[in-house]
Amino acid sequence: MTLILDPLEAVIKYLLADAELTALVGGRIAERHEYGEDEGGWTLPETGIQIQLDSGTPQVDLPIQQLRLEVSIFSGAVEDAVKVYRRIVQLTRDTGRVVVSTTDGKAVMYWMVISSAPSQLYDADLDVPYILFFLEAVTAEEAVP
Amino acid sequence: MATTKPYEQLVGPLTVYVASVGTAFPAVNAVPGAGWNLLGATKDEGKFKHGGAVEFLYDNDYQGPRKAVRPEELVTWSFKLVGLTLENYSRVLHNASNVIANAGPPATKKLKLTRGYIPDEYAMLLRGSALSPYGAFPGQYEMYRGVFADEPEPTFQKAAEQAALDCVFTALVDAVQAAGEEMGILIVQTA
Repeated sequence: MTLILDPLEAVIKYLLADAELTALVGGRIAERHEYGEDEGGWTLPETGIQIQLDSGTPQVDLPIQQLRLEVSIFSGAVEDAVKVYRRIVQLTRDTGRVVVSTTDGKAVMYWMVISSAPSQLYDADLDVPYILFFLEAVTAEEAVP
Repeated sequence: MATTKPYEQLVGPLTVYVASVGTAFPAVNAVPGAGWNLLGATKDEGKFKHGGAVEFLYDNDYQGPRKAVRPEELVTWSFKLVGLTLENYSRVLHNASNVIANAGPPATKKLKLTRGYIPDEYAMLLRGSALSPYGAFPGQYEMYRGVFADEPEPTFQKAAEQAALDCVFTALVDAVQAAGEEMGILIVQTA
């Protein structure tokens, strides 16, 4: 089956590869948070990041995916969630054009920039405040060697 | 099937360095050495222009043009400088030596505003960490001789935007360079 590279996987893998972010969230970055799962899930007050697709700009002419990503940072303590936000923003400052390994091949990520300022909201199900902000990430659809 | 085509699309801002005319340029993957001054933080887009309008020549025998010539050409780099140390401000206006320090107290630095009849010339290096279209490699534009040919208007206000110098660096012919390289080159790493 011929598919374009998974753009969300590229962004998540890129964040997972950052040692400083791993020190804060221990690998708890996924497209859907895993708090409350019976086995192997995340447990509050551990900090975790949920990254979801939120439309973006369709690129009709070029084989690139220009995504808007909704980033939700959950934590038992708001300041820990803010610390994760601060690290992700620093990553967007450092990120130029990078290559990320995904399941189907190596993806070029052209840029990852913040697309909004942060908001502090409340999740009634988890009974915690969380930090919400948006990223824009552009990845290539074709793999590079 | 893996392809290098995604690399052909170039993104990312360029870092601006200036030096005296005649300063050796660094290798494309080397840190700029002594003599090269990082011109400071820039904002918004940087625009490189390959100027020089082509003129078309017609005759009475045909409707369409018979010949094209380019009588003049221009290479410019436009950017907005927001890192305004007096040294960088002075380089854009005229020359870094026009900043005078005084131990005080209070300690001060003074920038002379008169630009002078002859603009000061610089060599300029524009470095892009992902400027190569052949792979995950850097590249750089090299302009051997040029001047800041603009009238910057730093604007001071309460909010909205920091004061910035709108700079336009215009290349001059450096006749000692190899043929075709007098106005500068773009060099990228390929492997």
